[in-house]
Amino acid sequence: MLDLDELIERIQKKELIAEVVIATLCSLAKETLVQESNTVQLSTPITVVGDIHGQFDDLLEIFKIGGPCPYTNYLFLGDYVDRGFYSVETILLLICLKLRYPQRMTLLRGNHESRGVTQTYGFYAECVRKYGNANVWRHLTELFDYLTLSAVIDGRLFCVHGGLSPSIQHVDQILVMNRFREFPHEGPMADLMWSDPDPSIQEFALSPRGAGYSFGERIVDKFLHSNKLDHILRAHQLCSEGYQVLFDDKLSTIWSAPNYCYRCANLASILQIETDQSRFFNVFDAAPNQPTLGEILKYQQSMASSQSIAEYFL
Amino acid sequence: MPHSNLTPEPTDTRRQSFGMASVSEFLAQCPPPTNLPSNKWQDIPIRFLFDKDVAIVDPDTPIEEASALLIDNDLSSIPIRAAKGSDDIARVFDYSDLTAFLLLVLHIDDAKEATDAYRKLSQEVQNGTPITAYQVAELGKNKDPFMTVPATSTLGDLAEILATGIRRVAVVDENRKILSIASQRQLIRFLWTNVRAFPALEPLMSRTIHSLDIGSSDFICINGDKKVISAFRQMHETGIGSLAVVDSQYRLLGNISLVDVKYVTRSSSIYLLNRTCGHFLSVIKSEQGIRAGKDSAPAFNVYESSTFAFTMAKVVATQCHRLWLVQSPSCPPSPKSSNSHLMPGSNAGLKVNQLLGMISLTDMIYVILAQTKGTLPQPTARIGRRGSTSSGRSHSKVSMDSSYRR
Repeated sequence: MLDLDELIERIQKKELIAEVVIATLCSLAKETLVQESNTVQLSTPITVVGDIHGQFDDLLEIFKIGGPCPYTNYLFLGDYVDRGFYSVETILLLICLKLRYPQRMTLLRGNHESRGVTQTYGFYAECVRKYGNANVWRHLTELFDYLTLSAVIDGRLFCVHGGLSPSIQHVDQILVMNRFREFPHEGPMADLMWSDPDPSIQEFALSPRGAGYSFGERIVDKFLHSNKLDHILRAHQLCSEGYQVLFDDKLSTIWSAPNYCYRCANLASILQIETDQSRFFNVFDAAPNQPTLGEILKYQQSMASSQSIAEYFL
Repeated sequence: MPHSNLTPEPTDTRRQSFGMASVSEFLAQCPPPTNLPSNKWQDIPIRFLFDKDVAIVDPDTPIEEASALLIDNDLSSIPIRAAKGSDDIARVFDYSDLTAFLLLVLHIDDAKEATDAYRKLSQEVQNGTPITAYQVAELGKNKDPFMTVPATSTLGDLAEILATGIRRVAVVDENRKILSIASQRQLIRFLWTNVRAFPALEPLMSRTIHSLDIGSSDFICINGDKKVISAFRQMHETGIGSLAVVDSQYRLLGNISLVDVKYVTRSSSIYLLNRTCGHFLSVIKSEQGIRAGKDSAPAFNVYESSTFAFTMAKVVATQCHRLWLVQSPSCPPSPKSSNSHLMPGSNAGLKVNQLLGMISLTDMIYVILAQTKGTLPQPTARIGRRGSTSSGRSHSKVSMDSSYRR
């Protein structure tokens, strides 16, 4: 039997958790997650968190700023892994908290919770580096297939990782999707994870990301009106101020990874929503103990061959 | 049972690339442009493509300066004047030259590199003599010839040239002064942005990749475990500008192009040449994602069921130079079923995301031209191996290592 409290403590100290324990965690988590609808209904008070991307120290800061789970209800909007150096710790802590306090912690799927994307953006490499093989990556990416796609808070605030889809006019259409799979780069499921708002257009256009769409204010208006909603909360895009509000306060982007990739010098935020539905963006800066640029370069070059090259280029 | 390429046209609207009821509904979102002189795209004057100033350098420009200009301004190539103040262009400096130079500097000895120019340049590099872009601009292989067209040309004239595989031409006035560069990308962007002004193109827009038989199997793959240096060597030796990076089952991981040499030209990043192509893809994508503030998909691809409109839209939105044709997912497996992350494709033996072909800008322009001339074959059930559509193309590729070629 797993002692989740003890496990949570060990993860917070960045101890390496054994593969067999991770396999068990994933198995248990699937049983919980499979019961969740594609659109989870949540209530205020709640704190909404955007992209974390393996910045584990900043995740621990978030729990200090927003209050520890379960005393604060949390909704995470996805993108737990890739880029930062502690993606494994980040996702494991969140899964443990989900198992320990299932009603207090909701985890949405982001576009980075995908096999293809994690092979490109660092999570796969981190797993292989820490465990010597890809088994942990396989367990966790299989678990990602079970993460839900969206949430609605107090029946009025629609929450998703990316944005809207030309295939989805009603939230009901999300409910009937089969989410338990790796999603391709096309189709409504992909769109929810990949799309971005674009103030320069009114309708839909294909996204420069190569997946999902860009969508304008008219699309947001239609969606909110058809579904009797007030606001869309999403993440997915870097915000230098930690958050961005668009379209006359009809859509917000929340970004929760400060000093992204340890070099972007951006702020981050978490969104605290009270029972009267008032929204407060709690903005914060990077946690101490960030890797230095020197450490990052050293880490990147750790397997380099020692060729001495004349300085012919810039 | 023999594998067949016969896939039925999709009737399920959820599978259609735009996810809307029809392509024309998507196109109808925007009003047609009203500022164009003709509703026949081929008659539009070429000046409608002009966008930015042309960067041209003098022949004594150092290689470092020319490289910086190329990379920092996101250019594809830089014409080099024959002499200071002259309007004549002697050579064009591009990424194939930069790559060749990098290999030279690293003393990647190739017995095949027998040209005098190469050996002489190699010697000068070793002596520490400053090198000019002009000297380097003849190292790249299989470069497009530098072509000019008069400013009186139409888009139709331009398309005839670009459909043969030439990537860009210089538009010159009557004194042979360069006014602008006109490229495949610019043409496709113009046509897509203004597609509603050209009703003759609309039937083409809803045709699928499958029915058009567009694209070719004429490309090189490299396994993600191979070293980056061998990717650049391969591109240099074959003169082909881009490699598909695949896993052991030919599933597409991403692509590496000559343009990506810019990630290894700083001496602090030279170590990347010794890493794997898979790792290099991470570096490229991560860097791009941070700059844009948004991460992009690992590879830009389309399916056989994708419409031509979707294909054009994707090329324009992502600003890519080619789209990869991959095996699309079949119906998803039932929940909580197999723990294999592979989903069986609808075609026997093919796996999801397996690489099937490549669609270049040349292919797309060729199809648009064929549609306009009325020479495009009607949609029929296609049986047999996927083949190259552009039989009219004269730009043939060098044969390559068969262990990688698909």
